[in-house]
Amino acid sequence: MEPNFATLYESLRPTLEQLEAKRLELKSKGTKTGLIAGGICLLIGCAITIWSNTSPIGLAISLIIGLLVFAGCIHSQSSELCAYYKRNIIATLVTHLCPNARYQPEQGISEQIFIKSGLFSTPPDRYHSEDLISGQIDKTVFLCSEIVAEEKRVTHDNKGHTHTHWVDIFHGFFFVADFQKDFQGQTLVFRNTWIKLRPGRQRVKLENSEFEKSFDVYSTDQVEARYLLTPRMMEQLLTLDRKFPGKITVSFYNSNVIIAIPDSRNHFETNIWKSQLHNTDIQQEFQTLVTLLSIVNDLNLNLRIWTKE
Amino acid sequence: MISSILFIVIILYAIIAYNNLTRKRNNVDNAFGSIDAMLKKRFDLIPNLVATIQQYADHEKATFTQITALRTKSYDQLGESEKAEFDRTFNAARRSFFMVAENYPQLRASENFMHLQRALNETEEQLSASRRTYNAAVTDYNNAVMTFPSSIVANIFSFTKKEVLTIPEEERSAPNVKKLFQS
Repeated sequence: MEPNFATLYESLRPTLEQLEAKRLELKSKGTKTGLIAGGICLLIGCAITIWSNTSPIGLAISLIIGLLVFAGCIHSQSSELCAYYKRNIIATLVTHLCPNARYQPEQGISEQIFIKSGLFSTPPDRYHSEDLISGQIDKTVFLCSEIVAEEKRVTHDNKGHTHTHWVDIFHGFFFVADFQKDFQGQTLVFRNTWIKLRPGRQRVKLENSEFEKSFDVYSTDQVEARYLLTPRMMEQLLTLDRKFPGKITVSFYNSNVIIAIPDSRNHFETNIWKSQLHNTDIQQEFQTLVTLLSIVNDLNLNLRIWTKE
Repeated sequence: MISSILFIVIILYAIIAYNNLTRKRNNVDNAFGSIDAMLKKRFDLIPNLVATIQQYADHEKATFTQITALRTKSYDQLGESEKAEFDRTFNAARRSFFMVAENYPQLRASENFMHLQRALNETEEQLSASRRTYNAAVTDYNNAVMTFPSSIVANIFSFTKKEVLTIPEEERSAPNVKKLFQS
């Protein structure tokens, strides 16, 4: 895996030029639709204002609505551009970094895996996962995807009105990889908190004080937790934690390692307003992919010297 | 009245502290049992180890003769000193195993060697985990025995401090296991 962005960017230039042409074409199409729809809104607004003989504020409101409709029509073309961007740019970045990987923008990691990871106590009321990258790096099979899991909260005000709002349980990446050792139970590496209590699981106190400062470990089996979290693995997880701006949590489950990486940004997206020829987001996405795909090597998951091959 | 309440509180605390100490001591015994189980697993690897390496290890004959002699008994029949002796001999045999393998490419290429190498690494990793678990349980227990006020209950009921195991240097530091698979 050679993370040389400059060379890759040069090879992507023809595709980026096509993408830019596509953007201008879609923008023009959106502009035409926007002019018609926005114009109609403006005319209707003006007619109502004149007919009802109201103040000039009505005209201003009509103008604002017309402009919003105009901008909305152009922006609505973003989804088509985004699909093109994912199919041609992000997919190329992924295969450049990992030839055995496949990028499926509409697919994601199942809700069942999210729940079974055990990292979140609340089951999501609304769940969405996209941008699935699946493949194999040497001997390690992996999956990686963006996930937004939300909880529905309903509140009632004094007048008896019901308000519903959605709260993030998790927003970011899930990285699932085949672990190099077989194990039966579940070991969870949470962030360090004041309250050290997880029903049904035992707290595992480990020797690495730096690791203990950052994380709290709970497991169904004390010995198995230490079998997985060797001194080297603890160091590797600390190093990995420093690589991501969000604070990672880790689950060892079903002979897999599941890493939850919080990230509030919606990755691998573009929009109609931005020129695609000088899109600095591409380099950022490239760096994100490099960091994600190097997890396998960071955790040394290809080292298969134990009974699991 | 106040003295009765104080007395009840003290008795209740003593019961809680006693139960807590007992639970921690049981955890230590349980953790020690898992070390023993791992040592037994390791003991069961001897025939395979000897069969794989013996013909290549003329100059290490003494080590392998010693370990073969131990194998005439079952692990449960071994006394404490024999178990300690087995631990030392096995470590020597394991070191010889990897040293000999470095000099014989045909041995390294054999399926039996590969399988045994994996089994050895697995057992050593699990044994290391069991020792670390034991030490964590002992530290937890010792903290309860030595800190006030549970130390008073520990003294009354003869809960004594336990010794932690000395973890071999190669288990404490992150070993360069990759090296074993190269050359």
